[in-house]
Amino acid sequence: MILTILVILSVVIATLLLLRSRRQSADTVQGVASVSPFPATPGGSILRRYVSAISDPGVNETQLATLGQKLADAAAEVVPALIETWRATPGQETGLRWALVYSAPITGPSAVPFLREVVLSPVLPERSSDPHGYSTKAWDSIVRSRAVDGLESLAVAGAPGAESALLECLSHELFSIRALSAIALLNLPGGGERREQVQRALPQVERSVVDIQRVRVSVVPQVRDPRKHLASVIGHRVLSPPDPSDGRVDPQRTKSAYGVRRRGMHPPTISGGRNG
Amino acid sequence: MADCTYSVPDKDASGDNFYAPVICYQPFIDWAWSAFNFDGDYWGDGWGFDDCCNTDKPLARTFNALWLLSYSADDWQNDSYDSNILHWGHRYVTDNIGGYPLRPGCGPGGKNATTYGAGCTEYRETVKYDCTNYRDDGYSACDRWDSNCCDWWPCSWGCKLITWFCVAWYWVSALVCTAWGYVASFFCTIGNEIANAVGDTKHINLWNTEYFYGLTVPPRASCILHECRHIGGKAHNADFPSWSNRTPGSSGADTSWDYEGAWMYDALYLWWFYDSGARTTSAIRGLAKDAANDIILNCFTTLPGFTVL
Repeated sequence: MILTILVILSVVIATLLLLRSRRQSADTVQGVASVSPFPATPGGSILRRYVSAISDPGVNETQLATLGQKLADAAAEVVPALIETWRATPGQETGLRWALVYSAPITGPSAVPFLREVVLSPVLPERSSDPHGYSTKAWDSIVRSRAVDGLESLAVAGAPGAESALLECLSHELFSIRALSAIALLNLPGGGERREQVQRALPQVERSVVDIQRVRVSVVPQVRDPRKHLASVIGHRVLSPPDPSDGRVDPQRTKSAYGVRRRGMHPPTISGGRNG
Repeated sequence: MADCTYSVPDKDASGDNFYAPVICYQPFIDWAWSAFNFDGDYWGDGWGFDDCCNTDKPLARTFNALWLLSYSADDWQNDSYDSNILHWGHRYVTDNIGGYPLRPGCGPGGKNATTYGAGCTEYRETVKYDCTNYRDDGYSACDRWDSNCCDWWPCSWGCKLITWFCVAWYWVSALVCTAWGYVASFFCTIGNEIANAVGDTKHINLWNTEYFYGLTVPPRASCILHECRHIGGKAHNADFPSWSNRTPGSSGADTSWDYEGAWMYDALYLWWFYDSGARTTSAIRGLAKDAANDIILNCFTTLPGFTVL
């Protein structure tokens, strides 16, 4: 009897799922041009070069350090360019906004007002309809957390105003920024003596954040047994990945030679109708 | 006329220019295409099928994330589950993604990715987790009762007997409860598979523009791991807490780090990548650090009590 009910139930579920989710046809997509926010000034060029270099596979650590030195030497020109670029960078360019903030401390103490402005600027209301999936506020927060990181490194180096900017951040509108600032202050030289001051500056209910520890990942709880968290015991094992050391672009090969091959699908046209 | 459009953010800052040269390697593309279960019917029409090295397009940007996921351990050949998640992250994805074709889509807006059809496994695991918690709470209650027992005969014997009944009750109830989860999930899976055979209900969708252009490369990689944790059986089990930068009170958070849900996998991968990631740059690792801290401080209803060093 129970078995019959359960079978009927599964058929009903199947029907409902079927009605809800008929096979969808593939969407089409097309790129539109974006504009570079870097100003056409000497400072803008140096900044552009450095921001490109931080993720350039062709730039080694020594070369990056040399470029960083150039950035620091030209701080008087770079910082205004940095501010101009920041203001011209659209909110959805989170990677670039983060990279600008990441680069700022290299210019030295003159970056403190910029970083302070970044972290204390009002956070825009959530623009995403599904913040669990993609949260604009989270990305605004991530960029600001990098600014906190920058202020901390400048405070360690003795840059005037960096520590007081961190203290201001204790009343930031975002909890994660308050928490990271508190942790940063406690990790500055002599930070232990600041513990009460930091606690007092935080809202009453958040004073325990001073107990949050900065730790290496190896000491936090790991996944106990990932094998227990597989959808199927059989899995979908395929061959191991190929050796990446050979992975480089071969200019002699045509674009089509790198094209993926699957199910005899004919190459489609960009933003055109489906085929294949 | 395309169904949706994108503009390409700065590719140096996103890390896409860094990974672009290494993904453009036919053996990797052949392997990734099969291992990550790409659905070939969906990656044409501007998504990059015929231009798969072009990191302006969604397909190459997905390859970037999968390359990071596959080769960021120094000894990338070691994908043992006894190692850390930096090693087995890609294996976990390929082990789970088998029945779930990977597709792009224009999307509803506001989403990175959505996994369809994992509800039955999630239900089973949620029931199992709740039953285990119920049992453990019960055992604690039995222990508390036992510790307050009288120490004079025959009261002590009677009290001990009640303790045994108490423990047995919670043991049996948890067993029945867990068994129910498995039985219900079994029939749910039958229904789901029928629906999938007819109506194609199981797949992972990566959404334009958020996944391909809103995320930088490391969160793009950890996002796929996050989705596969759902396939592996863990749904989010809490609402975002009052302090979260996501919408407080809305669903999608996990109760704790120890729940070992999708947020823990997501953050843990980013953290290991920051700590020990190879074949990358300091800046890309720094981005992973900030993304991990963001999850740690905003996506658990019980704060884990640590941040990234």
